[in-house]
Amino acid sequence: MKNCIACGMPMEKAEDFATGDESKEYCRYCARPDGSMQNYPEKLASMSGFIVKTQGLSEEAARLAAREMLSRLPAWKGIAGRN
Amino acid sequence: MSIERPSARSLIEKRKPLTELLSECILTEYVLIFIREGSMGSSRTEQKAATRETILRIAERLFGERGLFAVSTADVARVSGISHGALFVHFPRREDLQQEVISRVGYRIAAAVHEAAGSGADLDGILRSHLQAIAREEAFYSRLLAEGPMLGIAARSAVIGVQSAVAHHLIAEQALPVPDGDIWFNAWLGLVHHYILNRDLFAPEGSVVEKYGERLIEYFCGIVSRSGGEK
Repeated sequence: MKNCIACGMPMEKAEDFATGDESKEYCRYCARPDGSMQNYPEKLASMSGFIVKTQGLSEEAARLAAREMLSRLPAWKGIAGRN
Repeated sequence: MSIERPSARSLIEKRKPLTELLSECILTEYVLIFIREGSMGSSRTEQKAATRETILRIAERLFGERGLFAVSTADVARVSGISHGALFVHFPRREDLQQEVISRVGYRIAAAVHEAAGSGADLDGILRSHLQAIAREEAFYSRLLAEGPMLGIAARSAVIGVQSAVAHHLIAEQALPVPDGDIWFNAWLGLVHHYILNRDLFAPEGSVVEKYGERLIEYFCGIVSRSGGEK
């Protein structure tokens, strides 16, 4: 089983992958409408927003947590933490 | 009659001492493998991964038994049977070890919920998969709840990450009423966490999740249903 390189989500079924393409390394939630992978600022914003929406944390706490989580994922090694 | 002799490779993999290899008169083969595989690079990598796995397994058990802050990296090294220096190579600070153990335990919980949601489980089924996964890690999970607010940002983020994955299946897939999804999710966590944090009072003899889990699911699904959500 693959994990999305940009958010860590497990990807099992074709529909979990971006555009339903199982050769992709990232999931449907990390894809832009055109199927390409979101960049770091986009992912940081969407992940922070998701944390706020689902867990109700303050925006600042959510952004800190998201930044920390992204820094451990293959897509953002060396990028995360500078923003 | 021939005597079956262990192959050089199996002895190398078992890390037999060189004298034993010599006594088996297979030094030549050993040297050939050594040359071919470049200083036993692959088995060394495997060894390193095995040590890391042992450290994490022991740390998880000790954290569960004594707490995340009562256990030092030196304790983990001693119980793992390795030097403190060897542990330092993998985890320089206790927070690194805490963070990694939380991620691993959390990944197992998130994966169980992900699997239940993927096989079409309803709210009741997703909550049950969440509780069953927590029950398998109950000792560690209760320590994590009690000590969570004292953790550093890396370890704390790992906890938030796990909850994100669980919340994703409860809210984003609309098992919970969408408006106020965060309050619904926190209501579920608050209920479950209260029982786990006080497990010595609710179920001193064993697992509080096993004892109260079904009642919590039934109660929570009841409120969701009365509020116009699923079920």
